[in-house]
Amino acid sequence: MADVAQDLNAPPGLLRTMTVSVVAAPPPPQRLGRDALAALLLFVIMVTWHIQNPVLQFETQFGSAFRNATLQPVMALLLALTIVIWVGNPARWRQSPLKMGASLALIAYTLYMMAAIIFRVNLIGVVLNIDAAVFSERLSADTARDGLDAHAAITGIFAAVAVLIVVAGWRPWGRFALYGAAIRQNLSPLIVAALVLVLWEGLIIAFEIEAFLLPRPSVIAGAFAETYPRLVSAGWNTFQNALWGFIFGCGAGIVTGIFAARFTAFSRALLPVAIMINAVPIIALAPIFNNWFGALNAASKIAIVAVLAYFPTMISTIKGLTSVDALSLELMRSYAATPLVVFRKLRVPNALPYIFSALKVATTLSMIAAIVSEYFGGSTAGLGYKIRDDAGLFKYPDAWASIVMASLFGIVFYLTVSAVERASMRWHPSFREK
Amino acid sequence: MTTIISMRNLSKQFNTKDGTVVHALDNITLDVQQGEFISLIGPSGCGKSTLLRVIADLVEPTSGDIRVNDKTPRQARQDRDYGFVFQNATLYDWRTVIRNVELPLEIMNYSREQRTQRAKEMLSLVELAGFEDKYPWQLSGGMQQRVSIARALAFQPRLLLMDEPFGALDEMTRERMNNELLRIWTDMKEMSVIFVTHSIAEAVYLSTRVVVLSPRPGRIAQIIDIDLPQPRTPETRDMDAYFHLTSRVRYALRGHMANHGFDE
Repeated sequence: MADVAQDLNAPPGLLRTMTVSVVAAPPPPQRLGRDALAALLLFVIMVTWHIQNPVLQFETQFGSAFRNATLQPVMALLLALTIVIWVGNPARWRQSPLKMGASLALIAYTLYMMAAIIFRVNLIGVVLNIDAAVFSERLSADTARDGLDAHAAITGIFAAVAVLIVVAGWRPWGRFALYGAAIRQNLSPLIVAALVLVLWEGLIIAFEIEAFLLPRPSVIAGAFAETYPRLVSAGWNTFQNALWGFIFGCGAGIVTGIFAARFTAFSRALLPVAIMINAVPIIALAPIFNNWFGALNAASKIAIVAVLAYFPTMISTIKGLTSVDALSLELMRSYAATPLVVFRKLRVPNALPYIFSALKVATTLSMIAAIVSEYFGGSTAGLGYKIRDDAGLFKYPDAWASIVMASLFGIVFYLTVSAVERASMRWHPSFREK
Repeated sequence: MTTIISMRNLSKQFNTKDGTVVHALDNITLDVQQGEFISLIGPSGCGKSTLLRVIADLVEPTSGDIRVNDKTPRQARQDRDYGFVFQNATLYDWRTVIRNVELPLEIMNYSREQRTQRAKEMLSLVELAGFEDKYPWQLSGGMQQRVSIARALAFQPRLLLMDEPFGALDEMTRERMNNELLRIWTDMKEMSVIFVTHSIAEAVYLSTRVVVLSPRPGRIAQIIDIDLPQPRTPETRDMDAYFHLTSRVRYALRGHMANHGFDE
């Protein structure tokens, strides 16, 4: 402001233009969000192509990773979601017929895949006169395979066109400077990560450490590459428990947090108890929850996740709703605002950063709870069970590969919640873009 | 002239945590006419902010009578008779500049078109057209305070209460803001302003009357009419009458400083 203020007698119009020039920001830096979206889109195009065709699904490794019955419709919905974001505003299509054609082709691919995967109506299969039963049953030696390979080829061309359209829209070759900058910015953590892996590998070779104590990273990578179809399915089963527990636990935490913040007498009574209960190692209660909800039941796993996610969310919600700046409250009072208006327009936006940091912590807690709860018996389809089982059979590289998969699910969960946070709090200083 | 605020024998005592009683205001009697620009000046702790908060019904007086627009302060607050500008801009970080200005209009259920139109008018009044979609952190301190003035004026109150609004700004920016405030006050015909400050120059330059308060208990020490010609311009600061009046205010303040020592 200093140079603006030098000439106090300048006419207001001049002052304004000067102020503008002082505040004018550098051009906004390009972000990697579009690259992440493009990569995700290419991935789900490949996944959906594999899962709508029985040959690809059962006879390729990549396809069998997505054989899980509840994972398939989620992948189809993920395709729809990413396509909607990618294609964006239809008003922009009018810029060129090429753009419009490309967008429509992507939408056609998505609709075909959704019909085939979610509703089990494979339109290309119908055209090729393939028995619909083939698409809904597991392939066996005596299944009639007529036309299935032709179907795979035709849908493959369809998928390839979709991939080409996405790559043409993405144009990664024009973004190398951006990637270079991103790598340079994160050079030190990347070097540390690489060093850790190299040291891990090197020390195990140098000191001849037995593989069952600690396998080499390359051995773990090998085990991962070999078993990942099972791991994806097991990870998805465990993740579902984590997700439902997260939804119930955090939902209940936010609701009781709102209630407690509204009735301060209630929160004064509740909060110390809640903090005390939060100090209890709740995961230790897992065997008891098995007793309550049934060991074989997913409910016991979901319950332990929910309890673990509940307390931090509730405490942060109360904190966020009540730690409101005194002047901001006085401003509302000066407008004679009703408590509901104060809640909606001041307390909730004020609480969002608190709630989201609790939710991000809760994603990690949820994955931990969902995995550990499987150590105490129950479903044999999850990652926790698999880790325990492999370790019991001295298949340590496999156990480590499962741990890697668990981390991948945890990271994706965390990043998803972060993305929602970013989208709903663009104003927040930590996301300053302009 | 109509009396917009009338205070009779107004007192306010606070009970502090260590059991002592602080007489923030003692026996304040003052009338404010419509269209006046009144500055409340005094050393810190003299109760000038408390007096402003009593008018705004953010604090209740212990004894005495006060009428705002011939209503109780509570009724006046509920009728949204005044706009309040705080010491900090107190903008909501999650709202863009224009949405901050629209905040009172949203609460008062203006239609969307009315809100946008009024907010744009107010932003150009404070010379911030073009900054609608910025977030508060993207603005300098002086610009933020201008947004908060636009917000206070958005619903066109007849009374503007300002609590050291330029206290955190540097001297240069403050003088520029003073000129802008005077221009706005002239534009908004018949608007009354109560302005809390601890700057003598600012009080004399802006006001039609300066009320000098003495500390503990907060009392009116002297009321000085500022009969400088309107409109005030930067040249006003070079007038002999201006120097004379600032001296009078300074002496009025000092008299009470002498009585109470310089412990403020």
